[in-house]
Amino acid sequence: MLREAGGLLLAAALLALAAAWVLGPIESAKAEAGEITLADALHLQPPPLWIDARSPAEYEAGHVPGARLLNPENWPRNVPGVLEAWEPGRCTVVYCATPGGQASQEVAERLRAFQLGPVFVLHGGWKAWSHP
Amino acid sequence: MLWSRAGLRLLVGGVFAAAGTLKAADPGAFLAAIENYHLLPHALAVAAAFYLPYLEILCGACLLLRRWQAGALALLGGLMLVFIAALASAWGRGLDIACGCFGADGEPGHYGLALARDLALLAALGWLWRGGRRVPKRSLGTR
Repeated sequence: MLREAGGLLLAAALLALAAAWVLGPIESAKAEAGEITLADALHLQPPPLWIDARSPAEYEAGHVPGARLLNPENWPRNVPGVLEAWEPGRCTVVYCATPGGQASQEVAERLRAFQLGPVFVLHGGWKAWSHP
Repeated sequence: MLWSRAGLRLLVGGVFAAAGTLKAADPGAFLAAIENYHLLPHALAVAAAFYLPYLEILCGACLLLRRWQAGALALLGGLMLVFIAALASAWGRGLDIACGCFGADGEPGHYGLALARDLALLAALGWLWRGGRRVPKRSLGTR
């Protein structure tokens, strides 16, 4: 029995090492305060207003369907369109290129000042959407 | 009796193989579930998030295939005791978390249901263990 248990423990360790090697570092799916996971964001009703806080080039290359481009650089030009698109009762989810990135945090902070209701940062950023 | 034992063995093996597969498919979600318990440092939680699913899959497969059953039953029994202790600890500390028994499953706070399920699985493992240790008289050469 001990030999069997030892063999199973060793085999599981080898499989776990192989999985860790293939998958690389894993990140907890737990969201920090003010963040929302992709799975939770997709369950929001009504669907959230998505804000893309990356560069215009990155936005053009691909973005969440319906997302509005808004980052600290183009704020004065793009914020009126965002305010126009927002509706009462609708959450806002901001993402940028890097998980927990400064751009999405800053845009979310500025949007909260407008008291638009809940404003979240997407946990994992754009990568959470493009490589779920 | 033999049929019920075989059915239970397949059921328990299937449950653990399925639980392990769901966890292995989304290690990030399982890591979050482990960290919600606030029992392990991050490095150990990451190791557990990779290791435990494969241990469950292998042990479940052993029960399904009737190979290395004693070892698999012993390991699964130990795992269930750890899971039950972790659940009871979270309940006692008033944490509002999902059990994570099947990865990123379930609503938070259903401790009674999760504990009842784990205790039932532990009882089933114990029954299979006792059955596996009984040596039929015929195999000892007595008629």
